[in-house]
Amino acid sequence: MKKIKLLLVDDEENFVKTLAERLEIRGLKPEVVLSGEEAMDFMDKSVPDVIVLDLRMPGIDGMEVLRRVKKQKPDVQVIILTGHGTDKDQSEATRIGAFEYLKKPVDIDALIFSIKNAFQKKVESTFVAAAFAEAGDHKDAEQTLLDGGLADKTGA
Amino acid sequence: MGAAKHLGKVSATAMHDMLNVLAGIKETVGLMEDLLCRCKLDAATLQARFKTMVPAMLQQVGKGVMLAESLNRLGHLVSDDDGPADAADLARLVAALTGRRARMRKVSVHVEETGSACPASDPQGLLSGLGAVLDACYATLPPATELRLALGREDRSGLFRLRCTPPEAAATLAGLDQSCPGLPGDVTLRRDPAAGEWSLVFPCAPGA
Repeated sequence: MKKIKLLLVDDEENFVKTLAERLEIRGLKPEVVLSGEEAMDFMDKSVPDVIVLDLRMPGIDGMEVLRRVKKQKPDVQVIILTGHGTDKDQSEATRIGAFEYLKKPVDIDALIFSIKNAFQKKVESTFVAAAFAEAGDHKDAEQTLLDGGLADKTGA
Repeated sequence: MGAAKHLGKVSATAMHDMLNVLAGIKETVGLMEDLLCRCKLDAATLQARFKTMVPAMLQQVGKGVMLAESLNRLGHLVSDDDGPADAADLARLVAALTGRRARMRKVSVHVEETGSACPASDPQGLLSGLGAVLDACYATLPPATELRLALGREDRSGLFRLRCTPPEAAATLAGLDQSCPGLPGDVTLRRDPAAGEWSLVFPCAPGA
C-alpha cells in the first residue's frame, strides 16, 4: 500500500504526540499540528490523504476545519476523533462529509483500521474522479469527489 | 435556558475534559506497552523514556481526580438539600468544571474573596447562574482576558462583581444579560452604569 499522508490535528499536545508515536511504531508517518489554524496552514503547503481531527479546539474549531477541507479538497478523508461526543455534532460532521466519527479514548487498532479504510476511499474517489475527468465528464468528476467515493457510479 | 440545562452544560464540559484526560492516559499507557513489547530498546533507553512519561501521566491523573471530585461535589450540591453553601467555594467549583472552555478561549478565571463569609441560601440557583454567566463570558471575552469574580455583600444579598484585566475587555460584556436569559430563582444580573460593571446578585442566608 502506498504510504499514507496522515495529519493529526488536536490541541491536547501530550495526547496527540503520544498517539503519533504509537502510529509511527505501527508503520505510519503522521504529521502533527495543534490547532485549526495550523491545519489550514498545513493544507496550503501539503495535501494529506487522511486527517484525524479533534472537534473542540481554540480558534478555528474542528467542524470549521472539516467544512473548509471538504470545500477545498473534497477527496481528503477526515476522521473526527473527539471527547465531545454529541449526536448533533456527529450528524453535522457526517452531513459535511466526515469519513468516520470516533470518540476518545479510542482503541489504536480501531483507529488504524479507520485510517486505512479512509485512505482506500480517498484513492478510489480520486481514481474515479480522474476517470470521469478523462472522459470529459467534469460534472460527474466533481460530484464523485464531493461524495468522497465511488457512490453509485461505479456500479452503473 | 433553565437551571438544569445550565448545570447540564457545566457537567458536559467537565466530562469532555475528563475524556481528554482518560484519552491521554490511555495513549501513554499504550505507548509504554508498545515500547516494552514492540520496540527492541535497551534497558537504559527504556528507563529514560519511562522517566519522562510517568510524570506526564501522574499530571493527567491529578487533573482527572480534580475533575472527578468537582463533579462529585456538584452532584451532591444539586441532589442533596444541605442548606446554604459558601459562595466563593461554589464559584471556584464552577470555574474548575468549565476550565476547558476557558482554556479554549485563553481566558483565566479567579475568585476574589473579601474575607467575610457569604453563604448562598440557594446553592443550586447560584451554581446554575454562575454556569450561565461564565459560559456567556467565555463566548464573548477576547483571548488573554483575566476574569475576576470579586465577592461582596449587600445586606442580605451576595454578589460577584465581574472585573476584567485588561479593563477594556469588559466592554465586550455589554449584552451579557441578553446572553444568559432565564437565570434561576432570585439570581439576577445587575449593571452598574457608572463603572460599566456587571454583578451577579444572589440571596445570602439570613443572619450570615
